[in-house]
Amino acid sequence: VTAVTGARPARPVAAGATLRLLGPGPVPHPDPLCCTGPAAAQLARLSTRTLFGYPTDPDPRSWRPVTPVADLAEVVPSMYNAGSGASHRSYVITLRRGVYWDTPTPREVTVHDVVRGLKRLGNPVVRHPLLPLLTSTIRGLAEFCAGYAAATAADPSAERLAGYQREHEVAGLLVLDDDTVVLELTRPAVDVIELLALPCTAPAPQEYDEFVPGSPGLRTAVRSTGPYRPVIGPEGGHRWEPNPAWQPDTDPLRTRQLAGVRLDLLADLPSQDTGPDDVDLGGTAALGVAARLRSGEADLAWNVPGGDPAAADSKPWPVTGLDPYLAVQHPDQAVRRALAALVDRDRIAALAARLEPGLPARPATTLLPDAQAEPVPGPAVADPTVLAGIRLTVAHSGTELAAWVARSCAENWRTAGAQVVVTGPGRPGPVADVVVDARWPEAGPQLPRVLLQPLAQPPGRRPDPELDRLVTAALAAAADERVAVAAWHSVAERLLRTAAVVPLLHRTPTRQPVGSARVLDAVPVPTAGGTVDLTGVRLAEDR
Amino acid sequence: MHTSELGSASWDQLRELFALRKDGLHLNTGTIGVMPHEVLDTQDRVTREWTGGLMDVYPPGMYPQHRADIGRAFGVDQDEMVICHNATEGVARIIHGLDLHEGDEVIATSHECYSVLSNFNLLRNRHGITLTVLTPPTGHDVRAEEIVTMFEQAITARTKVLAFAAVTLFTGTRMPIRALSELAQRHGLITVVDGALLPGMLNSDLRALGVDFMACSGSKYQCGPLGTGLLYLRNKVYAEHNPLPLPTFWPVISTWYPMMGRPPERSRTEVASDNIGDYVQSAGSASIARGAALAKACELWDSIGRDRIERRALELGDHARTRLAEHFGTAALYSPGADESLRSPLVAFHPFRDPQDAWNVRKVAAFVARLEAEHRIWVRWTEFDVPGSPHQHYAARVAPHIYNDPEEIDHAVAAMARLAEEMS
Repeated sequence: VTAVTGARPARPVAAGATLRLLGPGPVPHPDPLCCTGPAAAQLARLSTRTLFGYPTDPDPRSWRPVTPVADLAEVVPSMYNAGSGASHRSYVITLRRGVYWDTPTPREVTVHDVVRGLKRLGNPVVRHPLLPLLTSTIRGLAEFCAGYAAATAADPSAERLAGYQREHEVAGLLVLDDDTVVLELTRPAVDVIELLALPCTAPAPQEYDEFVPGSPGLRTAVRSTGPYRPVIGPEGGHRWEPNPAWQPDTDPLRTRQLAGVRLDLLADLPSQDTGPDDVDLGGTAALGVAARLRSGEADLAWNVPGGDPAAADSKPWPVTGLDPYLAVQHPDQAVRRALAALVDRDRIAALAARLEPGLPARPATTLLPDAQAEPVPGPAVADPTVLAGIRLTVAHSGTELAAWVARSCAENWRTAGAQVVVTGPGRPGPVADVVVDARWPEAGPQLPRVLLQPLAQPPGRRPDPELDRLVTAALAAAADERVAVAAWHSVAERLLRTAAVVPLLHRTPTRQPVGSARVLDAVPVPTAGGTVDLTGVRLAEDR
Repeated sequence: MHTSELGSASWDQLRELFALRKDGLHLNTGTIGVMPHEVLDTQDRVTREWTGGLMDVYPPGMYPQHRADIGRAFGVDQDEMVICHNATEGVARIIHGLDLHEGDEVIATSHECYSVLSNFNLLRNRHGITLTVLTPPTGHDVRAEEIVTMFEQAITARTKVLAFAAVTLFTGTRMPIRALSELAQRHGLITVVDGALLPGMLNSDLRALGVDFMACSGSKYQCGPLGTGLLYLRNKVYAEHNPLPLPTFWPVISTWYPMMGRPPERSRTEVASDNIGDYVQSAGSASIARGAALAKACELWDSIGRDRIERRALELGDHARTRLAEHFGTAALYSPGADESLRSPLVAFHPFRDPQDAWNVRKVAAFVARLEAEHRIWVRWTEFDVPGSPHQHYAARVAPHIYNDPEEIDHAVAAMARLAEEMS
């Protein structure tokens, strides 16, 4: 197992080689609306192009990989190319020509596909967690999404969903012709280009109208615009093959160096019946993957956060994840504060160090990693006796670390008398009181709203008018960077003061990704949590 | 033609002064003017004179005589006039020379050149000022009082600066400069004016306008070389024009700003206490040839008569406005017309039948491109906000100058009408 980098000595490249990924499941649905988190974003880059995207750079500390450039779009609209005006409320986006869907007869991507992709965000079946970023930005999208959900939630069949999309328009999306769309904003936003680089904003072909978003049927009918396209294997394996409709000269961000990509899922995860301090190090996903890489069974780790623990630290990357954190939905603020006060961050940091040893962690008492101390409720403002006898459900995002953190927190809360049930991801039942999740920002560190707004306004959140007021004020201040940053800090303070969000760890990648000796040119994408850009990977010939 | 004959020469005769292309119709002086042959010759001659020599290049780079001559044409003195590289540079040097601090407010409009807004945003990031951006009214019926009221209603206790264009580049609105200057004076405010389109178009006495600062282009209506501009800094207090004390000003980019100590206190009278123009003018080696060429253009304007030129340019603008209104309707005009004081030679209009095409950049851009490709007519399209509209509007803009004539405008408008009809 070695740290892989783009700076290796030249070695013969294997022609026709397939990259073998290995990691813990589940594999995300390839529908862009289901793309959340770094592991999904890494796979999405194979087949899903967005209007704008991020180039890679061998040095992830460079400014380049956090500065979006045109991908499906011809150029980044700006005042200098007449793509936007002084008000920053109107963006003219013209598509690059020669980008095709891998339909039976390749069909060119049009702005109608772009609009369809944005309209699909409003469906009531799959509500993307980043939706508030977009509904608060694109003029009319909030109203469109609200109307969409109200009209179709009772019977969200594919036909009804597609019908609603056909019959209703988003006021701020003006289609000028097949190649050009004008995007109008509710208010100026300095991060609109970054928002249109989110995988969930990817165009959608007309074929998607036949399916409910995120449905099993769509999994086998998904269309690609990238260098590879997904193939669902008969045994449930996950493969990507070259997309014959992809033209390299129309893609400034990706290359195709492989005959294919295969993802194998790691079986035999450690039992979750053991206590969090008894984790069998030999059975963790990270070390399980490492062992298989060492034996040559796989080439690159997938869905295993962090780099090679044996590699020397380098300077921090320009991205820090809030991983993990607690989203606390319990209606009683006193309970929320008590829960927050009883978490043991040092213990969780030690847990993370064992489970994901390649990703340095530090206890977090703020939401923004560079913030000054924020009012995290501590013993002085929390009364743990309120937990006595209350019943709590705790869910987690499904990662190994999240599962263990849920158990660790549950133990602490039980000591205060709470009756805690830890459920896994996707279990049926009422909304959990606490969810253990992770938030890796999809944009550079200078845009606090990309990290904070999804934390402040997650789907199904309990009402908090004061928080909404603070978010609105922060959005309205976008033109004045200093005021906006201060306003977002106020949002963070509100989340912490009310203990709606409890930060646990900040994690900043500092090491090279992990791969077998075959892997060349594994360059990380900071805006995808530091995961490797699979479209740039080459494989060396076996020695 | 001898210089002494220019003042009485016909417009047909004067047209021969200019290096006009024979294969097209230039109606885009708002972007770039056409240089007179004599200006081109001056630039070429002076370039050659200073090439390969061992002469001291620094004293002529202060342009003492050119500044005095040009200043006289604009009613100001040499110490108040600077030859710079363009209006954008002038704007930047003004804005960054202002003594603004955290909490101070600047009021500008969304119809300013981007260089004005970007530099004030830089101050916002650097010093924590507040920038309030207003969207001025558009259309044929706009009146000066509306614009003055718009600014007046936005002034707060923290306002320190009013920034506006002399003539806006997007809609060609000749802003009520003197009225806005008086408004600023009533509230003790500094006035920063983007005068990119003013010199060569309007016969202006800058001192009488009462503004504190104005940055101008030398290559648009003044028809000097690209890369030339003028910068006016009020350096004396004439009570009848602007009784306010001179604003504190820091001449950023200066060779001759004192290296020790500080300049004298700014004058409180009609007598300058210092040559602030020299501080700003001294910025390393200068383009002596371009400065000389700009001075030649100004000299020609003085000989023709600036008042005469202003009348002619405005007449041509009025002619264009009338013809455009006949073909497209008054409602299609974004530029003011009813209030004569707001008119300039620049006229922006919506060419298509469907009002919604006003926010179709592709269509408006195609209209301008086809005028050039199929009719050899050069105009430009502009983009701007309209109060109350969520859309960015796009317009075609004609900008005639004294080398155009009414027949050309008739021809151009007829061609535009036919093309617009076809594209509608």
